[in-house]
Amino acid sequence: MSRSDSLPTRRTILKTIGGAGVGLAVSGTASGQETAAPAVEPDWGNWFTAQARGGEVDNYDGTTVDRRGESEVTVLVGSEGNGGFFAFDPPALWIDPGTTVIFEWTGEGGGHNVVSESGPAGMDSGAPIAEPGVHFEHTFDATGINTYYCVPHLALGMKAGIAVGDDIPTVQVAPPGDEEPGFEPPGGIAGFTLMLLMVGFSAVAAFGVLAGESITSLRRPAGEPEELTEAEPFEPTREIGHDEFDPIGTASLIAIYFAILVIMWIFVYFIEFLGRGPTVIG
Amino acid sequence: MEIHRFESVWVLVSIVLILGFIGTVTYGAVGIGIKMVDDAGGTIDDPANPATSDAFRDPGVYQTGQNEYEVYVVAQQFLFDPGTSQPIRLPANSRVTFHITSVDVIHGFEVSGTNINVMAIPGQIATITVDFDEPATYGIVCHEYCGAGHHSMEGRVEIVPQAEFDGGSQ
Amino acid sequence: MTFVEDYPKEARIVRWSFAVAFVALGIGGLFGLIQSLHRTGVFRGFVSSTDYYTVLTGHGVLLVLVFTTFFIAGLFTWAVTRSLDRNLSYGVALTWFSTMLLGTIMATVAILAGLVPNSGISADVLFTFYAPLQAHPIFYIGAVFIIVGSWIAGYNYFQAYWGWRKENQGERIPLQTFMVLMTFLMWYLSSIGVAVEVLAFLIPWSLGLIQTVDPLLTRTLFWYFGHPVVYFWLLPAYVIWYTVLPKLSGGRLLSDPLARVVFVLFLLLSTPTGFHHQYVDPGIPEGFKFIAMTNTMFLLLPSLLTAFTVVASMEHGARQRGGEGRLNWLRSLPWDDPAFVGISLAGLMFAAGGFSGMVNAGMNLNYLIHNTIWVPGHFHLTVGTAFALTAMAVTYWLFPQITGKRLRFRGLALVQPYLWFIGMTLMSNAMHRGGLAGLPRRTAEPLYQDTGAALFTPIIGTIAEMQFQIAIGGTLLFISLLLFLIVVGATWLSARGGTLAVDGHIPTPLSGAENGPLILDNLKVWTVIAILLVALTYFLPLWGMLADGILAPGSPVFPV
Repeated sequence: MSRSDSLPTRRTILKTIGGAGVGLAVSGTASGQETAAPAVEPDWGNWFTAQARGGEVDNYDGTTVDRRGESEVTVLVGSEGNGGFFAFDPPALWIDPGTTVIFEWTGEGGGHNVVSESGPAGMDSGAPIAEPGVHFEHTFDATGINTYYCVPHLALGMKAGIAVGDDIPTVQVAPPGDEEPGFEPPGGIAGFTLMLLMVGFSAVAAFGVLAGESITSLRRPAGEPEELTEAEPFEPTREIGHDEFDPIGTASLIAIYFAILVIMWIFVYFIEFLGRGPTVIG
Repeated sequence: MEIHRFESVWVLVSIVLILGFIGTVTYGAVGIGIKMVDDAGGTIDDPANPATSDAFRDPGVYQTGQNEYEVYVVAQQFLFDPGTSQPIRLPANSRVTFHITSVDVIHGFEVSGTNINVMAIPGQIATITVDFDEPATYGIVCHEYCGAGHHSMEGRVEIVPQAEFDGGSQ
Repeated sequence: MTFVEDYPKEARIVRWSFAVAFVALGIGGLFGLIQSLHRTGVFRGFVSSTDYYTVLTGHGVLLVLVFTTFFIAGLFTWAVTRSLDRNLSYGVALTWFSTMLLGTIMATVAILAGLVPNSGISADVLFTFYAPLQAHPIFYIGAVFIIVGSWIAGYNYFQAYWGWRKENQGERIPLQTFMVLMTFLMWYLSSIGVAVEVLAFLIPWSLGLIQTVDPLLTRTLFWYFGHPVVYFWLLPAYVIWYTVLPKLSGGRLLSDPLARVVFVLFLLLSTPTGFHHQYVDPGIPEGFKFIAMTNTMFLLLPSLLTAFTVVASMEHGARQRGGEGRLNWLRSLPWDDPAFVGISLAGLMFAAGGFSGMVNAGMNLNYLIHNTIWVPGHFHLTVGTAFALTAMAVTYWLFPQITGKRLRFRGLALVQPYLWFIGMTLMSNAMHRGGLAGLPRRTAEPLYQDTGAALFTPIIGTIAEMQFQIAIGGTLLFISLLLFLIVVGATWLSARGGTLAVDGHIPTPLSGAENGPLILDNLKVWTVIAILLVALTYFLPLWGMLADGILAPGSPVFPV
């Protein structure tokens, strides 16, 4: 099975479109800098936005909880958020090197785990656990920005980050709300323009007919309501009785249809289906 | 009852077409040996704990012969175990039997790009055997709606050359 | 005399049924637009991906449960009244209408409450509501009311038929009534499955009266119903294609007896095919799946016959209009009549949808496309066009007769079916190709984000272009739907009276009912055979599932 050869090309295209979207988002954040803002935040990149996998994290409000100066910090696993109990609390945390983070499961929201996405920490708490209690701890020695998530609830936005140390990339505190839902028209700008044009023309055409007809159609009849009559039944140009009718046109059309069915069946069964890779044989 | 002779011909042709379809499918089943997933996999009395049943084992890849492997897969909201956190690794030129079940709701198990496509129903074990010939990477997709996180439920199957499989972790 | 003057009470029932149907169509269609934009990534601002499933449930239930059932009940009320030339019981009609309406409101509230944050009620279980996913009990109870209401509607028609029979011993059943009765016999036989599933299992389970249900059993009971329900939608379209389309073409139906044969075949074969929706389910032996496949393949026969009979009737009309030549007669057909255009385009698209249905039926071939977006591609051609477009188009012909009002905005009405055809061609072809590439259905975001995890490999075209076609197609369909609603709304609001552009006269078939054997009209014989076939197909598999415990292996509730 070597279809994967051709794939990187298409994937690259999609990634490029996605990357362009990411680039726009990141530069959007940076342009929100204020000249006299004293506060800085760890640079989470797009981790908490819709551009990263898992999508937006609704319990992340743009700020990072600063617990530098403490030797032990607790992070709740399965706190309320993201449409249920699918959140880490706090989602963004800043600690000193050498700090131990205690991950405490709330017992809500089903099975959760803690798995690193990026950063030096390399955490993996194992298979998801649903019971409350402390099931994982990690001491963060290396300086850097760590991002992590819960595997079964990644799609709901159960993501978080732990920044360790002072010497890490930071950004000025940016106004929240720069995260737009990813808008990546599948056909690119050209395709999107084409779609707008098609929709626009249809709408204009419909409106035109509507306007034209409303001048004539909706005029109410003057005086008494007219008596109701049906149209006259159709009078055929020539009558064709049962015995003189041979549906030769139908026969031709049905023959064409039959041919199409046979060809398509052979294509789907023998080329698409049997030509595909591994098949269930037992 | 009278039928126009054209239409009588069409009735016969239609029946031939239908028999042709049935024949093709039968050829696929008997001639090529494609089997439908059936009830041979067994059932699980306690669907939330499949490993407690005799018909199932802890999730993972097990070698059972020279080039034969068994993979026990558990589908749950919203991941495949194994498959999601770590890919299912198997060597090329192997005959693999998957045993798939769910511990919560109905899920789907489709290895995209192949004809491996079954349902994971709690309480039932879907047992299917597949031959993997060449190295390739496939995605596993859950295609039956299973809740809010359904659209992120995915995994991977990696078929690697035998040498790489032996050298790496099993 | 127009229908509304001859039968004012029946006309009122038809109007009310159509009103509910079109409201459901509008909301369901809007949801479809939202889905086509969200799923393809064009615009995800309407709802979150989690709420997408609420929208998807609404789209399914409102369109294929509410729009269809109400439209069919209204259509059949007209058909039976007209063909028997007899009144229906108004009291029974009011009963079924209010029961169905009550059920609709309950189910719709349960679904839409899922969009309201913190409401505590949701039914994000999709139209198939598979256990162990559990919706709020109101959803299931609402669904039961809709089904039971439809049973009462069937009684409305049978009662009229029995009354007619007493006064017309020995006569052949008028064709439209025959078709209605056969459709409903099939409906009664098939809806037992879902009624048992919901009443005996899902409602007690969702109320906490029982702790577990067997997901495989409930799923099987659903699909016992789930396949024949598509014929509950298709057969009314066939009623129009057999009795109204020839007239609109300017001709006569080729053969009345053949039409009866087709409906008999549907009664016999519709239900014993449900396992073809469960080809890749564990727990069901392959033998039962094979039998379902052969039954399904033979169920192609009545549809293939219909193709010939209906097209031949159209050809007759075209030639009576002066058409000549082997294929040139096609141009003599009334392509400026909105009703004709919609119904014939619907038939054309059904021919394409029939093919993808043949693929779906092909047992091992199902591995290729099960639960991929090929399947919605198929059913948007069948229920989404063969039924829905026929319904919209016949409304252009029927609505003036049941309201006494001339059709307004006839220009829009003529554009509407062509627009639907283009939109559906784009959307459906992309769905079919996407399915062959492996794109899944019922997913808010089919392009998985994990790099390399899901590798979709189309033979022709690219995934991006397919997604784009789906979005465009969906948008054009929605615009077409708006045009339809504008036409109907404007007509409804206009004044009654004047000369209608349509007439209700239906000419006699070229080969009449007297040319068919009497046994065709023997409803009892066919019903008994149908029951036997269902028993043969389902008894053993269901026994197998029940033998290890009715509720075992059981799963507890998983509320969405």
